[in-house]
Amino acid sequence: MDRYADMVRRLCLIHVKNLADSEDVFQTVFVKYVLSSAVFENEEHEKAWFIRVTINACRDLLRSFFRSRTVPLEELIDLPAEESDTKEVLEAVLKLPEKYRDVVYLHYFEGYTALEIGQLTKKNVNTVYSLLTRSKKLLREKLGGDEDA
Amino acid sequence: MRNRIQSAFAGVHAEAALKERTIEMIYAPAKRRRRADPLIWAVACLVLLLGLGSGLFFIPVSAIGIEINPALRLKINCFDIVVGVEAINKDGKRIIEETDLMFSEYSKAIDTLLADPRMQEYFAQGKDMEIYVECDDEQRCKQMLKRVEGCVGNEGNVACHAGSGTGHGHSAGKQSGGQHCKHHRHRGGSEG
Repeated sequence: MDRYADMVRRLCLIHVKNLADSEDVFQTVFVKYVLSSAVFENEEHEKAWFIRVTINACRDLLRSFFRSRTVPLEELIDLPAEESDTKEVLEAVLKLPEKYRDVVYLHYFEGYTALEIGQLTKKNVNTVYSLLTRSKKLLREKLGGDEDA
Repeated sequence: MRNRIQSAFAGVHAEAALKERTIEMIYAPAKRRRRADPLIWAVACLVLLLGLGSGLFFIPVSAIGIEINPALRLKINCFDIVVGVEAINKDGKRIIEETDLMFSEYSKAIDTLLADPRMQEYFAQGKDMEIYVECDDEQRCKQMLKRVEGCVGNEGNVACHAGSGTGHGHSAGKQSGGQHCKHHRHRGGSEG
């Protein structure tokens, strides 16, 4: 669990806006993993499985009529008081329209290329490029600075 | 920006308590996360269907009135089964008390009535029988009337009508509003 727990938690954070739902998704993903009969060729394959299943679980929850209310970021994660930049960046990412958040996280944090993100999220590679470009622009407007610096 | 995003997300971890609760959930006795037994689902569905079905079963959607001297009214459900028998006059009451018409298919119920010796006596006396079909659905009305006409094909002087509504303009009840379809048939011919 330790290998993918943080990644699943981060994906939950960017989609699900309260702790209870986030925990539901987190547990759903690991229960699915335990019950899954999938045979993974390697660690990358396994990681991709976790990403896909987490994103799908988040989407299912967001579609659900019973999803809970949205809470502020401070209630979602424990942020040290001095980490104001972390808070600012996370808030900027979370304020992006939902379609941008996966690609931002997968590209900037997990280091996936547009082609790989396309395969993971079942999106056309050109769509991923567009999403990345637009999200960079939006983030630059909010956070300032160079896009890849 | 890349570095800022990386360091921001690097600060997000799955909380130890969350991991513990998840592990507890995964390794908890299977009953906690076991899906309901398919047999339980099947029984639940069956009970639900039976409940709905029995509710539907007892709701009359049409009626057939029969008048010669005994006058009575058969209430028919959507499965074409007699779910109620109503006497319109004393002779009708005697007939329904002594004849088991409930839960039989309506054409069989009409056959039973027509074959009843007391009814045959009325035919022998040359009396006219009137049979009317009542329902809100014109198509259903026509179909029922056709079947009723089939039942009475060999009997004496019988007139068949069909009308919309839950009542009828005969002694069986009051004429209700709505679309009216009328078919009339005497033995050997039809009009409608």
